[in-house]
Amino acid sequence: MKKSINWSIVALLPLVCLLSCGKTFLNIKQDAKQVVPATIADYQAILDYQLVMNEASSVGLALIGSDEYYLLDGRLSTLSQPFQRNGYVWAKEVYEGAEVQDWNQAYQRILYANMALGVRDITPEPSERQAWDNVIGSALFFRALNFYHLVQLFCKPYDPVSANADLGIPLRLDYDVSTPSTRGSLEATYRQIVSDLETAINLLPHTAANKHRPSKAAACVLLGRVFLQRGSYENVEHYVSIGLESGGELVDFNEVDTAARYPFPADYGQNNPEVLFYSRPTSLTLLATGRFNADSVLLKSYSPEDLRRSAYFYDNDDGRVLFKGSYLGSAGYFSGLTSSELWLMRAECRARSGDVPAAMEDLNELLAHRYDRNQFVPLTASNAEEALDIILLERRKELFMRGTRWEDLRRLNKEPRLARTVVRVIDGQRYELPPNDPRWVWPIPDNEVDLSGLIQNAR
Amino acid sequence: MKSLRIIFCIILFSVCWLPLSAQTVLEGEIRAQSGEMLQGAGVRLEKAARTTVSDANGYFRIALPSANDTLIITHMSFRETRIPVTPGMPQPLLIILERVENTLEEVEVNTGFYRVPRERVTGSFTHVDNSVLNRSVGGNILQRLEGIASGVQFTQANGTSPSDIRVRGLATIESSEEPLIVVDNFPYEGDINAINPNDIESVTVLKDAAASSIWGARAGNGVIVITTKQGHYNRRSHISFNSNVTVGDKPDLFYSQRRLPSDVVMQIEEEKYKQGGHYLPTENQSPFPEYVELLIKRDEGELSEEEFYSMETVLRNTDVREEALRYLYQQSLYQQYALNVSGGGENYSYYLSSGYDKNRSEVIGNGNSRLNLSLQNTFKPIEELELSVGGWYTQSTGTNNGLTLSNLRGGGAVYLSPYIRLADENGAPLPIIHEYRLPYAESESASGLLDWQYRPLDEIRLADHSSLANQLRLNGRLRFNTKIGFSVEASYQYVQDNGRSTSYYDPESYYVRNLVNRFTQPNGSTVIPHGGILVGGSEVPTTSHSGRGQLNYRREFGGVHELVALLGGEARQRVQEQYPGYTIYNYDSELLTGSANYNYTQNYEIRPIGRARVSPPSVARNRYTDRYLSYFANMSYGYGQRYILSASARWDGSNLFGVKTNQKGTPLWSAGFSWETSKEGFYRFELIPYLRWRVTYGSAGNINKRVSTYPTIFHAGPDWITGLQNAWISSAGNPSLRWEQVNTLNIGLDFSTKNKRFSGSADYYIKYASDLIGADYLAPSTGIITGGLASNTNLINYANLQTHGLDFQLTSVNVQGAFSWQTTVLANYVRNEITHYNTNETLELGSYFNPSTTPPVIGRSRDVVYAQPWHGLDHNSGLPVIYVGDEQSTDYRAYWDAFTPDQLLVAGVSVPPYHGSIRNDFSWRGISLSALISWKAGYVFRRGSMFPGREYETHGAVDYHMDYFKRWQQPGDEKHTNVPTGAGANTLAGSYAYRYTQALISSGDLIRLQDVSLSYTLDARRLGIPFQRIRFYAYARNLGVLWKANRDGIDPDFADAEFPAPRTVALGLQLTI
Repeated sequence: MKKSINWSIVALLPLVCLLSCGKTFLNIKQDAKQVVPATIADYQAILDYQLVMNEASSVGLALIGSDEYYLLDGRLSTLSQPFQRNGYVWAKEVYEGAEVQDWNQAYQRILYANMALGVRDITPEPSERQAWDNVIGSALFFRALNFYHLVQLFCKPYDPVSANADLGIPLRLDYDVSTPSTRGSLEATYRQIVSDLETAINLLPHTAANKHRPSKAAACVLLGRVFLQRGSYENVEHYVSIGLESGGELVDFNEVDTAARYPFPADYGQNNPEVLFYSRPTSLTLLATGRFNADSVLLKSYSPEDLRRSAYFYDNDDGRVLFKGSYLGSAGYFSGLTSSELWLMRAECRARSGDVPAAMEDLNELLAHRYDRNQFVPLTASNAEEALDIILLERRKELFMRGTRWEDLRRLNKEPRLARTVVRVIDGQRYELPPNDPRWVWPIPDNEVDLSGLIQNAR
Repeated sequence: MKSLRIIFCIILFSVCWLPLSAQTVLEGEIRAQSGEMLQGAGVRLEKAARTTVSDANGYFRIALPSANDTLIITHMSFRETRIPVTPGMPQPLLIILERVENTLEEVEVNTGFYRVPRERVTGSFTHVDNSVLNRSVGGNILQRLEGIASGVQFTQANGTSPSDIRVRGLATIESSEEPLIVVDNFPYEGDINAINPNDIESVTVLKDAAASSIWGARAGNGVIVITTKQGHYNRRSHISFNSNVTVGDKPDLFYSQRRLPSDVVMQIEEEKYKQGGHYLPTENQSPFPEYVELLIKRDEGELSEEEFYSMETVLRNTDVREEALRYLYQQSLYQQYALNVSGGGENYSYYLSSGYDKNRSEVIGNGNSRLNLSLQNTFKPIEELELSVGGWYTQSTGTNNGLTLSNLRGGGAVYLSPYIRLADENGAPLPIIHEYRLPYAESESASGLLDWQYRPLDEIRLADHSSLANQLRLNGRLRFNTKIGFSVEASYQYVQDNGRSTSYYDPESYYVRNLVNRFTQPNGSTVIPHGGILVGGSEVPTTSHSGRGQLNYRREFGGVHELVALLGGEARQRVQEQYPGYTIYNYDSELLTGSANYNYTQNYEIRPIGRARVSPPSVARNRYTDRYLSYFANMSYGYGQRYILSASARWDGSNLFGVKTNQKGTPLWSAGFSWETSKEGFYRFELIPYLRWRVTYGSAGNINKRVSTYPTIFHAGPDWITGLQNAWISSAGNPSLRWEQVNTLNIGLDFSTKNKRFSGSADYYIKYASDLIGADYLAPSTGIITGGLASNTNLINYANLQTHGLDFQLTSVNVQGAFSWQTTVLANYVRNEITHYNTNETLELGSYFNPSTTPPVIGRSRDVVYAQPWHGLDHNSGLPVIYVGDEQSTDYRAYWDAFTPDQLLVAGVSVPPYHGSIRNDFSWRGISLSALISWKAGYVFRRGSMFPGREYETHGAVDYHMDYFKRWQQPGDEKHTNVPTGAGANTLAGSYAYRYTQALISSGDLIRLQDVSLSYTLDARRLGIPFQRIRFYAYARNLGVLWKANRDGIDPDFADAEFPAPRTVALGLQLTI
């Protein structure tokens, strides 16, 4: 009997051992690459995930809805995605139940930004301070950029009279998925964007390590856009001037091989000093070379000595004029932020404030880099109104297919002199989008309304 | 009553032993024909009414009768034998028993933790022994269970992997549905094809909680325990050689209905061409069909009418399926060789085996081979101690150079042109339309680029895709038996899997030529050299260590009590590494030289359009570590040979979810009770002398590796564009994750009639699967979006599913004697129902029709098939009749948009709730014949058809279907056809009002002659040759459908397939020395 007791103890020994070492045994990570973010580098890495942060930027519906292109008969009904087919003619029903990538991708980026803001729980060493600032500044920039894009698609154009009553977008400010989504006021939405960006410009470096990362100048472009929408031109000028201190450099098109198939370098803006922040929209069938036609009226506005006509456009065999001037240096569109926008914004604000010479000086600074240097004569304007008209036309010619035209049309529609009706004629039918029509606001995605009960936009 | 007596004998055994004295004793030895010593055989003197049982060496002693008597030997697995005995007859007797195949209670089941005689378990097991496994031929062990194992359902006919199998239906919604595979007592996560079926002794399927919960958190989907052959003590050497050849028919390419004859397709293409708008030249040179190119050439005057006509005639008379059968497919040929040696001495036993399998696929250029070597030794240095060590090595190779019919599809609007030819009259390979427009490919070649044409028959020759996999499995077991009922056991297993794959592309292969051409710069300079390319696949070696300590106890006391218990712990670690693959350009396949020195960041202009980089060297490097820690206990208590009470408990922990949850682990348990009613004193029902009830209840678990408790990110390394370290969010965090749990109630009944004329079992079960992972739909404004990398964040444990079913097995011994005939009937019923789930209400209607996206809905089966109602075709238009509200309409889009999921009809389920088989085994002298007929019932499938205008699609979505010939063509046709009219363009009617309607739902019910096996065994000793036994056998599989409910010529098991599994016939020979 004695012997048997011994044996059972021996038998139990390995069990006791297993029990005692079990806890540490199970603490190993299942996937070596999987990490619960904890270091500044981890948080920075989230923001550097360019496939989410810099790709598929949420300007798809803005590109679809604006007046920079048109389609030929027979090329619309064969589009398979409803939002493209319906979006082109601003139909009442746009998505036909499908999810909306502009919405989805923006909120995914906002989730990334919010998770990266977890870096605020770290108390940085002095040597880490700069990296820590950059993560916070970048995260706020990305959040603001995507809020801004969403506002241009899914909220009414800003009107100080009604902004407190108009609906904004859900302001997701942390990554907790259990927080419900609601629509606050448009005013609150803009306030959040402005406060994010004003914090960001003090944290971001003058030049970023990479064009996929935001810089102070990039944040200034965005702040400029935000204040343009709010009609707060002094603020535009203020921030644009800060941006121009570090980010005003322009590319001289006289030095560019404008005859090349793609005149600009295909290096994600790395060697293009104008690119302050790189991003691009997802490719859309109706904007691809098979269907696209550049707006013919706009094309006529490029004078012969304007190098952009040959740098941006080429004549296709079938008579269509196609776009080749993307800062991607390839067949896609570019939706990032550039220095030319800074010059254009300051020119516009100066014209609006009546300072015509200063306004034209800013504009000519840009145009000197765009026109044949042997034929360039600086433009002049006799009054502020004329100056503004010239500047707005140059803005259109310069920022062709960057995703900004939609927001410009929306804000200018508030000014009766500048308001315009956009018209499409296709397959024997005429479609009009008059100023301040409710269809200048795209509907909230159907699945979002179903799942979170957001108030749908009137249409 | 026989079995009762046997057990009675066991009880008496120890009591009877002592009073016997040497002079009055009859001694003997009981053996099987195989020489195996039979323990536990009942020995009874008929008149003297004395009994005993044989011991571990088959030895027995019984008091010698004083008068002539008859000795009756009974054993569960053997035929009852009667021997006249007289006082003073020569001793000891040698009694050889004849084995009775396939009786219900013969077996000892192996759970992977312990072995126990079938009649002493409370749980529900399916045991498949060696003789049944060996009635089929093939290289995969799981395939041999189809139609044989009760409760095991193959959702994929001829399935070979665990994912093709359901054990007693479903127990999960989102997680893995695969049963756990156990090989030699440890979970097996390697490739099941690495196992040589010739080395397998038996397979046991653990079906209910009492059977499987000892496997804990991974047993929720059932457990399949595979046990390899072992040597035996005190047995002379046996050498067995087995060889067979299996020949499979060429596939029936004319089976698929998704084709149209050449002339019809040419007519359609011509219409599209004339209509315009379909074949638009694009910058990326999307290809046009060959016939359209011909039409263009004719219209542009490049071809005369005569030339065009003769070329057109050739196309019209070509059928690509005939071409493919001639040049791409062949008869498959599978050769299998296995040699094993086994035997043992008093304290040593061994089993040594080798196997070689070689398979030539039905696709020319594809094949694989497998080499198996194994050695197992068991030592018994002292009586108490047993040490086993074993090693298994498998090497598998594969070549995959063949092309199938689907590889002949062209890009863009081309689809599969039915008129393409693969070789000319002289057998020289011909080009087919592939990626680019023909004139482009021709003109670029003419302007100095490499030939840009794709010739399938050349490609088979010019590419070499091969793979090699090795598996090494080592195990050791130490067992110490004490005399007082305790034994201690420690076991360990090591498994290493490794493999690599390479693709070599000859300089003249399309792969190389295309790459060179694409990267040829506008100035004519090349980026990719015109040399061979060697691409090495990523290597994914896996190692696992498993260790287990176990304390067993067994004691019988008081004559009526029996206690068996075990207690133990197990730790497992499986590490899967991933090492990046490589690409070597300018590779010389003889000198093995090449280069990889390229500018991977430059964005080159490429042809026909766009920019691209040279694909950079892979940096895929990963490590996945799975750790499991378990403690388990199991006991069974038997009383009076009538009542058995069993219980088990298990605790599981793993590193899958995150630290906090890991440490919590999950406790699982089971309890069971069985009652052998026929042993009760009051039991008088002589028709059924054996009757036993079983009831069990308990829990098992299931795991899901896709979810995470914490907000987690995955580091992706330096970005290839920015060079910056970057990471993506894999989860926004889910603090409440836990293991899925499956509770099973099982009520079973085992019975046999007098003389085992009929024997069988019936089990009813209900599985309550709870805490199942289910998607909790999140608004996209949370940032968790469809298709996003963190989309698993919405998976939480809340859903429930219930599965219930009935397993019934009946064996009938119809004729016994020199000629014997036995029938085994399996009948299974299983149905699942979702009992709790938050269905995503925002899903598009279309997702209800695709099995992989069908949302779970409460009260419905997970396998539900939905359909829209069908109201026939319109008399005037030939298009489907639809109603929007109560109004008949022709606005198909509006109909679709207004159609809500609650209007859908439940057409049935896609997995048969009723299935089973009937197996008849005949034997006469050495000849035995076995035929397996399987059946399935109560399920449906959605068949394809022609959809108005889909054959006129511009882009890749072209659909052809033979229903084209059944289409509505004139008013009145709607009386005899459901196929809508043809249309010049996609009318939407097909997709929105026909494709998913009841009109295209067919019943899947079928009866199939699955296989027939015939063998002849020759007692070779009589022939005077040095063999013990020679067995010739033949085996035929996939013999066809005997009856099916649908009348569309579709085999429901292969409804969507290009062809049904070809018939195979095997011939083989087995020699035993």
